[in-house]
Amino acid sequence: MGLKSVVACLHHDPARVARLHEGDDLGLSAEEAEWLRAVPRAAWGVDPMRARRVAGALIEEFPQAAAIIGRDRVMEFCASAAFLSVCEGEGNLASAFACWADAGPTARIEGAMAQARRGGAAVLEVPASVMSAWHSRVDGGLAERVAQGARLPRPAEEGETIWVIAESRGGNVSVAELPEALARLVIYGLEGRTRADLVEEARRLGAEDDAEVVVDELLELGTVRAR
Amino acid sequence: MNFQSRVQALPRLGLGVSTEYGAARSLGALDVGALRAKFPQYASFLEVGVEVSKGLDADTERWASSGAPTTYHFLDLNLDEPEDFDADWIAGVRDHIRSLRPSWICGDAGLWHFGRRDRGQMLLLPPILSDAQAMSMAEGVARLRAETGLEVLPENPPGSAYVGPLHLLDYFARLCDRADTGMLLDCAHLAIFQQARGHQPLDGLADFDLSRVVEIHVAGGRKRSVDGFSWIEDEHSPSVLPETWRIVEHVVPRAPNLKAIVFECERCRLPDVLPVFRRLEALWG
Repeated sequence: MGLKSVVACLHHDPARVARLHEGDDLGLSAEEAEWLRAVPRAAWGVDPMRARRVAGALIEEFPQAAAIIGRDRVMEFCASAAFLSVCEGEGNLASAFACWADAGPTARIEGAMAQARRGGAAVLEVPASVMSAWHSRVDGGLAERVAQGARLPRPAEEGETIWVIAESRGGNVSVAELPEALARLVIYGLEGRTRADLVEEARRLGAEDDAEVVVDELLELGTVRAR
Repeated sequence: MNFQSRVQALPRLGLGVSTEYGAARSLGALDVGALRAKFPQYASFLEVGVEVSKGLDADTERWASSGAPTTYHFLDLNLDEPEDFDADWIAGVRDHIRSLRPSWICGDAGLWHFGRRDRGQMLLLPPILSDAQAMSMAEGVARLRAETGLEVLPENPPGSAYVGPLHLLDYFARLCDRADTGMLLDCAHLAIFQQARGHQPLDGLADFDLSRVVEIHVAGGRKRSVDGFSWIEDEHSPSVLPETWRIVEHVVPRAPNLKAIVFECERCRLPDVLPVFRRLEALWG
C-alpha cells in the first residue's frame, strides 16, 4: 500500500494510528513514516466533513437502503473494516457498502444499480415483495430526506422470488424483471463467453430454436459481450 | 507561450459563487438566481463543481444556457495519477466544457479518491507535501491543459492532517513553476493549513510569487477543539475568520493577475452573505 492509501486509512482507522505511534512504519519507508508521525495524532480523526461527504454520496446512490438503516448508521460505514478494505485498494465503495449495509435485498437491488452505473449489467434474485416495495418507494426526494434523518421500514421478505436485471442505457439505470432462464444466461454471459458458448448455454436453458436470436439480441443490446 | 503571457488573455470574472450537482436544491441553499437578480456584481460568474459521472444539474444547465460566465471545478481527478486521465473521463470533461464554456478549469490538487476513481468518493485530502509529489501533480496540470485547451488552476485543498516536509506555499510554488501555471489560492484553506502547522496566517506569503494567483476562494470557518487539539473546520458559513481575512487582504492588492474571487457560501441565506460580498467588493473594487 502506498503512502496516499495509508493516509486515507489513517483518517478512518484509530487502531492504525496507534500502531504508527507505537513504531510500526505501516509498510512505508522510514522517512514517510516519520512524515506521518509529525502530524499531531488527534488530527487524523477530526475532520467530520469527510465521513459526511462519503455518507452523502452513499445516501444518494442507496437512498432506500440508507433509509432502512438510517443516516447515523450510514455514517458509521467510514469506520468499518469494509470501508478500510476499499481504502487499501480492494473493490469499490458502492459494492462494499451494499455488502456491509444490513438492509437485506434492498441494498442488493441498489448495489446492482450502482454496479450497472459503473458499466455492465447486474443480475440478482430477490423476493418479489421487496422488489415491489422498492418500485413503490422510488422517489427523487428520498435521498435529501434521508440525509435529514428520515427512515423507511424494512420491507417484508415473503412469497416467491424473482430475477431482476439492472442495466444502464443512455445514462439511466433501470431495473426490470426477467425470466429465470434468461437471467441465468446473462449471468453466464457476464463472465465473457464466445457467441457459440452462449448459444449452447441458451439451448441448455431451454431456448431451443430461439437460442441464436436471444443471444444476438443480448449481444446487440450490450447486456453480454462475446469474447 | 508561457503562463505570464497566457494569463493576460484570461477574462476578469469578478466576484462569483460556487455550486455543485444538486446543491441549489438542498435545504437552506443560497438562491443564486436571486443573488444575481438583486446583486449581479456578486454573482458575475458561477463556479461549477463537476463530477463527470453525475453531470450537470438543471440549475447549472439553465445558467450555462443563459450565456453567463462559468468556471469548471473538477471534483473527481487526482491530478498526480496518470490512470485518472482515461478516455471516457476526458470525453466527459470535454462534453461539459462544451455546455459550460468555462473561462478555465480549476480544482483541488489533492486526493479526491483512493484506488480507482469511483463516483461519490469526495475524499478530498491534501497532497503529500513533498517535491516528488509536486512534480507528479505538475505533470497532471500540464496534461489536463493540453487535453482541454484551457488553463488549469490547481487549488490548495483543506485538511486536518498535512503530511510531508514542505510548507504548502512552497509546494504550490514548485507545482506552479514546473507546470508553468497559475493557481487558485483558497484563503480559508490556507488559514487552516497555517493553523494546523502552527504558523501565522501570512507565513510564507512574502516569498510566494503572487502573480501566479488567478483566482481566490473565501469561505467561513469554525475553530474547534477536542482534547486540547485545535483545528479549523471548513464550514462555508458566512463567518469568515479573521485569519482568512488577513490572508485575503494581503493577497488581493498584491496579485496582479487576480481575475476572480469566489465566496463559497452555497448553504447560506442571501442576507447573511451580503456583508462578506460588500467587504470583498470594497477590497477589490
